[in-house]
Formats: sequence, C-alpha cells, structure tokens
Amino acid sequence: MSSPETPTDPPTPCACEGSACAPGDAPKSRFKPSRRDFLLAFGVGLNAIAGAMVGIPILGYVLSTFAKKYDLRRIELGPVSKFPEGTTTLASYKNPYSREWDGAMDDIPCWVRRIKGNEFQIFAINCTHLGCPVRWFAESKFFMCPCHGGVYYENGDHAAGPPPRGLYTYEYKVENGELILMGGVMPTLATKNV
Amino acid sequence: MIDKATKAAQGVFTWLDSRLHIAELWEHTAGHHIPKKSASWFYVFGSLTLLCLVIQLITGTLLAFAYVPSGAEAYTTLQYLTFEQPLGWILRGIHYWGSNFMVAIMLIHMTQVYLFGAYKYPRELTWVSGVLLLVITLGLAFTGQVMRFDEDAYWGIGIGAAIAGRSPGIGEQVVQLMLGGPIIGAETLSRFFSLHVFILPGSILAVIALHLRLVLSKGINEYPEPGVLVNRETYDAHYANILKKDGMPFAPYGIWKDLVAGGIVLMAIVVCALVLGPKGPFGPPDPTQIDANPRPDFYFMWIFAIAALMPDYMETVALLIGPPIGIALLIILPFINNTGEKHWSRRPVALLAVVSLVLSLGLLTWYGITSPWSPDMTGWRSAITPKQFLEHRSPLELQGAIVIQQKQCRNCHAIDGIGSQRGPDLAAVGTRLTAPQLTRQVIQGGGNMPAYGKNLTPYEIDAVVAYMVSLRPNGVPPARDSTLPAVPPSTRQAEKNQASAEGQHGKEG
Amino acid sequence: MIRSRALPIGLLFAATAILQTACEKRPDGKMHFMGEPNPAAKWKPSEDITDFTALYSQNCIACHGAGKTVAASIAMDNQTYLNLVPADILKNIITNGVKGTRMPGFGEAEGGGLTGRQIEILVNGILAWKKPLDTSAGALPAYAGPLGNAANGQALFSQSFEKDRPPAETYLNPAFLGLVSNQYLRTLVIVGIPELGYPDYHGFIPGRSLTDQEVSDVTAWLVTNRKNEFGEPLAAQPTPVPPASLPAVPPAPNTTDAPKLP
Repeated sequence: MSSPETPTDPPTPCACEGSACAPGDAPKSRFKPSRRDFLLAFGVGLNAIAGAMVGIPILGYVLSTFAKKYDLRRIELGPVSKFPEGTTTLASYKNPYSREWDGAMDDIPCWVRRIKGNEFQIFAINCTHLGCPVRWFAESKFFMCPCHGGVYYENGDHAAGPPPRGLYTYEYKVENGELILMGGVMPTLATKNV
Repeated sequence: MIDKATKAAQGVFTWLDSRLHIAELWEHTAGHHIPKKSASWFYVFGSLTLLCLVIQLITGTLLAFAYVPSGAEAYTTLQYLTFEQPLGWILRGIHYWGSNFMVAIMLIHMTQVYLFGAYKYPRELTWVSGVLLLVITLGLAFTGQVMRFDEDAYWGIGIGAAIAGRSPGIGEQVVQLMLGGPIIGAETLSRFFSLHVFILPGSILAVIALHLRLVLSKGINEYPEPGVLVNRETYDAHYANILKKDGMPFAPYGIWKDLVAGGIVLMAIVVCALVLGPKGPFGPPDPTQIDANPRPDFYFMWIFAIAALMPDYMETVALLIGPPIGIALLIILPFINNTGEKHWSRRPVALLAVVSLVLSLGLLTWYGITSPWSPDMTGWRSAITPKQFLEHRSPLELQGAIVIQQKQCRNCHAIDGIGSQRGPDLAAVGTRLTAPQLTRQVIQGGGNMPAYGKNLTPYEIDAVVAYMVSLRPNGVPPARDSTLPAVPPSTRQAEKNQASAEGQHGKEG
Repeated sequence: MIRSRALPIGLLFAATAILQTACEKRPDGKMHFMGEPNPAAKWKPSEDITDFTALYSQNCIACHGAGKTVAASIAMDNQTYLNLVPADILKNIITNGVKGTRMPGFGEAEGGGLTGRQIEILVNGILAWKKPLDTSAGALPAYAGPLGNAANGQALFSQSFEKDRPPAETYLNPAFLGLVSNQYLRTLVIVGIPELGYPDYHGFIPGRSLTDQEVSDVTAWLVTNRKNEFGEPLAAQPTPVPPASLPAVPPAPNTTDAPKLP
C-alpha cells in the first residue's frame, strides 16, 4: 500500500475529506433571515425545550439525594438487661432505611457501653478517621481501629492516632426498660448530632 | 485455478471496499505514516494500555453473565464465579490482573509521553484527553474494587464516604449522593455497578476515540533529539519534513513491536491469573463482621498510606484538594510548557519531577502494602516473645511480659520484629528509656500511643515497667537519667540507685 | 528450514514448561493451577475455625507457649500441669477467665469471641498433650488446697533457690504477689516454668520433692507477703478449698483498682 498523503501536509485534519462537507455549506455572503433560518431556529428551540423536559427528570433522579432529608430514626436495641453494667458490648440493629435486597448489609453494628443503670453510651462502629470498623478491647479498655491505628478511650474520646475527633455517639433513651437509639445514617465528619 | 480464486477474492474486496471504504480507512488509521525513529520500544505503551482495556471489556462483559449486582446476592455470585462456574476463576483472575496491568502500563505510558515532551505543541489535546483517560481508568479501578463485593469493598466504600464527608459544607450531601441514601446499602452497590459497567466504560471509549483521532491527525510524536526545540511557527513544517524524509506507514512497518509487546503483556496477564489467581472474595460484606481489615488494591495504596502518614490538620486538604490539584496541574501542563526542548536530558526539572513522583508514589505504595502503621488486632494473643526476652527474668518481670500481652500492647509493639510495627519495637527499650520515663510513657501515652494511666493498676504499671527495663541486649546497662552525674560504668552506681529507687529487680540484681 | 521449525517448537516447549511450573497437586489428588482458588481456603467466619492448632496459635500461644515456644506464663503442654489441672476447671478458666489476674475470658459472654465448641476443642486439644507423669520422686500435690502454715512455708522457702534461679526475694515482690491469684501461686510452686528456670515441686528445695502440705505452706507464706501499693501488709485470708468440680477460682485481692482488703 503506497503512502496516501503527500508529505508536504500530512498532519492536516482530514475533516472534509469524506462526504460530510456538503457543497451547499458555502459561507453566506450576507445575513438574510429566511424560511430556512427560521426553521433551524425553531428546531433548535424545540430541542432545547425537549432537552430540558428530558434533562430535568434525569438530573432530579440522579441528584435526588441532595433534596431528600435523611433524619435519624428511632431504633430499638432491646431490653437494657442485655447489656451488663460496666461492660461494652457489640450490638446490631436493622438499618431503618434498609431495602429488601440489602442482604447482610442492613445489620448495622454499634458498641453499647452501659456505665450503670440507665446511663449508656452508644458508639458508631465507624472510626472517625476513615470509617473503618473499630474494635473494643475489654482488657485494656480501648477501641482500636485496624486501618491506621486510631485509638479511643472507653468513653469514646480520642486517645491516639490519626482520628480527628472521638467516636460518633448516638443519642439514646431508655423507655420501659428498652434501649432506644437515634440512628440509621452512616456517620461521617459531616453528620450532625453524632 | 489460483488465478480464478485470486480474482474472485479481489472482486469481493472491491465490492466491499466500494461500500465500506476499507482501503481508505486503513490508509488513514493503521497505515498512517510515522517517523521511522518513532517505531521504538518506548512507543508501545499506549497500544498496550488499549489492549488491556479490550481484555477488560471482554472479561468484564463475560463476568456479568454470572454476577448479580444486588446487595444480597453479589457476594454469593462472586463465590459461584470463583469456585463453581467452570473457568470462572480464570476470567476473574484475568480481569483482576488486567486491571493492575492497565493502571501500571498507563502510568508508564504517561511517564514516557511526559519525558519525551510529546504533550507540547501541537499535541496539547492529546495529552489532555490522556489525563481524562487516567481519571476514568482510576474511576474504573475504584469502582471495580467495589464490584468484588466483600468486606474490603464494604469498608472501602466506607472509607470513600468518610473522605467525601470531609468536603466542606456539602459533605453530607456528597456522601448521600455517593451511597444513594443515608447508609451503605443495596443502592450503593447498584450505583457503583452502573458506573463501572455503563458510565465509565462508555466514557472511556468516547475519550479513547478522541485520543486516537488526535494521535492520527496530529501524528505520533517524533523521537526527540536534544537541542531540537519546538517552535509554534516552524514545528508543523519540521514534522512534515521528518515524515517526508524518514516516514513509513505504522502498519506493517512499525506495528510489529506493538504486537510483540502486546503478546508478552497478554501472556503475563494470563500467567498471573493462572499462578496468582483472582483476588478474594474475602469475608462477606456484613458490617457486623468486624474482624475486617480493609485494604485497597495496589493502585490506591498510596492514598491509604497518605491517610496514615499525614498530620491530622493536613489530612482533609491532602485527601480532598490534593487529587484535584494534581489533575488540574496535569491538564494545564501542555499550556504552560508548550514549546522548547523535548528531550528529557535537556529538561532536568521534568526529569526530577518524574523521579520524585515515581519515588514517592512507589514508596507510599510499598508502605501501604506493608502498612507498618496498622495495629494487629490479634497480636496480643498470637504474637510470641522469643525466649531470650523471657529468660533470667523475675516473677514480676514475667508478669510484666504477660501484662504487655493482655493489655494489647502487642497489637502495636513488636518484640524483636515479631508483631505489629505500629509502635517502636520493644526488644531494646530498656536501653532507650529509664524506668521513670517508661512509667510516664505508659501512663500518659504520647506520640501516637494512648495514655494507659486509667486503664492499668499501679501493680500492672510496676510489672510492665520492670519488664521493659529488662528488655535490653545482654551486658548493656539500662538507660541512665541524663540529669544524674555520669559515673564510670564499672561502679554501676547509677544503675543501683535507679534500681533501688524504683524498687525494681533488674536481671543483674 | 530448520530454524523456522525450531522456533515454534521451542516456544511450545517453553509455554508447556511455564504452565507445568504453575501447577501443583491438591489434596483432591488432581493437578491444579496454583492460582485456582482452593475451596478449602474459602473464607469462613472465625466461629467456624475448628482446627486446634489454629485456635491455640491464634489465642493462647502468646502467654502460654507450647512446644518450642516459650512464654511468660505456665506452659499448657507442661506435663505436671496437664496431670494437675482438672478438665472442667481448665474449661472454666478459658471460658470465663480468672478475675483479678491477667487471664481474660475467651467465652462469648466475656466478649472473648470463642464459641463453646471452640473452647471444647481447645480443652480437648490441650489435654491430648497429656502423658502419664513420673511421680516416683514424689506424689503430685492436689490442684487446689487450703493455705497452710506460713511459718513452715517461710522455712522451706529459705532453703530453696540455688544459683541460676530467680532469687527468692523476687517471689516476694508485692507487685508480683498483687497481680496473681492464690491459685496461680500454688500452681506455680507445683508446676513452675522449667523452661525459664522456675522449678516445679521436685526442684523447689534441694534433695526432695514438696509434699501437698508443704506446697500449701509455701503458698501461704507467699500470700502473707502481699502488700497494698502503700506497702501495708494485707492479712492472709484463709482460702476455702474449692472442690474439683466447682469451677470457682479464688480471685486475687487486687482486681481493677488498688489492692484492697477483700
């Protein structure tokens, strides 16, 4: 196969070499609104409106989470007697925002510390650094994170490592001997009330 | 007979060509002219990246035969693909290794393009589209990690959400947009699936079309020569002249190196899949399974490392603003450095930038893989202590050795290299710190160590300090308080003072 | 002609050789590629680990050693200990831990993360190390016993300890005594940690083995030396003899706070 291009202008864009450039597209000498221009403007305008009609639902669908408000919801953790005084235990609850096809993901763990009586602290499982699951060690009374070595005290305060703050704490109340927490939203540094 | 057959074939070809314009297409694509010197082994990495993408498209599509992107079923189908579907594991392996190769080769391609000055006039947009391809590829890599929907994926999304949650002002909204709701759930996986399978592959194909079109229309970069400067006025004529003097069609004269390299890469991917196999799936994406130890795939290890090594106050900046600034710098690079030298030997700053970037990314990645900052959550009950660190110890010191296990010290501290590297190795800690210093460190913590003050009884502190004072090589005296007057070692007065002051029983006692 | 044939044949050989080295024989008796996921290595939850060696090396070995691994506490494969300890007490210690000592509970109720079945496997595995003990030098004392005569214990204690052993007074360190239970002291006197130079009841005093009563006496002497953190002696309290079937292990006086009178 021989060289197709003359060496003098090889890199010229070959936009007009096919049949794409119709001869009728020659530049107009002066502007004169014609029927053809009107129809073009009409076509563009019509598509602008149609585009908006398609685009608005699409954008709304994609960005629906921006408009939606996800409140902390009331979650029952079971009778307080499940949590012995002076201990910190792992509990889990069904995510109030769960879908049927969530599988095991709707089981959300949390650390429940019963100080005494109805005095509790309920911590999210997520490290405040990057959200990894913290683990409780009853022997040394620390929460430790396996990712970057964040450590928290028994009361959730930051003890060491990179986390910028103490553990996320859920609001709770005790009603008729049932422990109830306000949760359901994955806590991050942007979450309020945790 | 042969003549007849040839004639018939020619007829078919002519018929097809008059409709499909194959010959013309060939001339303008595979047959485009390249400078003879550009048919170099250095110029194969672009086609190799494309080859990897093709592998990924094929294997990815085929994996979707069995994979179900549902929160409840993704993990089961992954296990099915890995253990039951005939040859499913090989396809998973090729897809996994293909992605690793693709990212790695793409980075090599980019480095080569940068060092050869190929982004300069008139190929600015080729470079910019390449940067877009980098971003999309990394997006595919991250979302692909989530497709392997196991515990790593679950907590990986959690890490992504935690980073997104740091965005000023709109953190919550960004997190919810990413998760498709307030918490990681089925919609999160569907979202990532859509990105990984439709949106990003579609975009990458579109941008590759642009990238290749630009390569064809602006020509492949000539092999740079030191001292030959790019000048906007004269470059086009200069390049045309090179092609005229020394040009040749890419196919068939330049393509053989791409073919050979492509074959090697393909074989390497398959061999990796056969020998090393696919990755995971590890534990199920069950958040209550908190034994998880999430780690990203290698291409994001450096981010994982940065998150561990950055001081807190810089972290949000580094995680949120760093990557966009990096991308922005890459995009504006051809506009701020548009002309001049192309050859790397005349561009020391460029060379230095590449070397430092490769070194830092490489080191961060290596650090991320070894993760010396990660505590070992089982260290306290599985990390053993070599015999020489237990022999000739008093009962109290032995209790100290037990306290060190039981209070989870070994989750962070190794003894003689056994155990986690998060904290300093304790093997010779007695030569570095005196008993009062050790006591202070244990009680107050500091330097990434939590304060144990409230969590240890006085006797536990006594035991653990006594044990740590004894942790030193044979014959080496314990650390001495520098405020005490120095005495000849033979008298060992300082030692004795200290031992009696602390009520300790060192092993020399 | 030869070259053109040699190349493809050589390549084929090379490829076969490479693939051959990538293969290994699996327990199912067939050759598999090394990268082929092994169904045996499929992820399973930690509750499903039932291999004794895995359980022991993940949970016990750091403090109790075994085989070549020496550890700071009594070795679980120590024959004297294995012959001494009743199985139900061993199981109870693993499940619930020993309050006031460094032994944590590994049962689920204690947050230790081992299921009852796994603890059963551990107990059975540990006891499987047991061999008949040569007691010709002196009968094995009982696992548990009351505190004996402290004065007699002191006399025995003072004749103990030759060279190369931890000096006697290190046993009397109040911090050490405050960290361990009476039962631990008794077990230590009987079993020792021979790997680290701590004698068992045969070697505690030169020449002969300790009797059961003498073990109680020495234990009593050690217990009377307990002091609180201010150096004030604690009165030695008589410990009730726990029947072998009763799983209670007497706690040490020092629990989570400073040592107090119980």
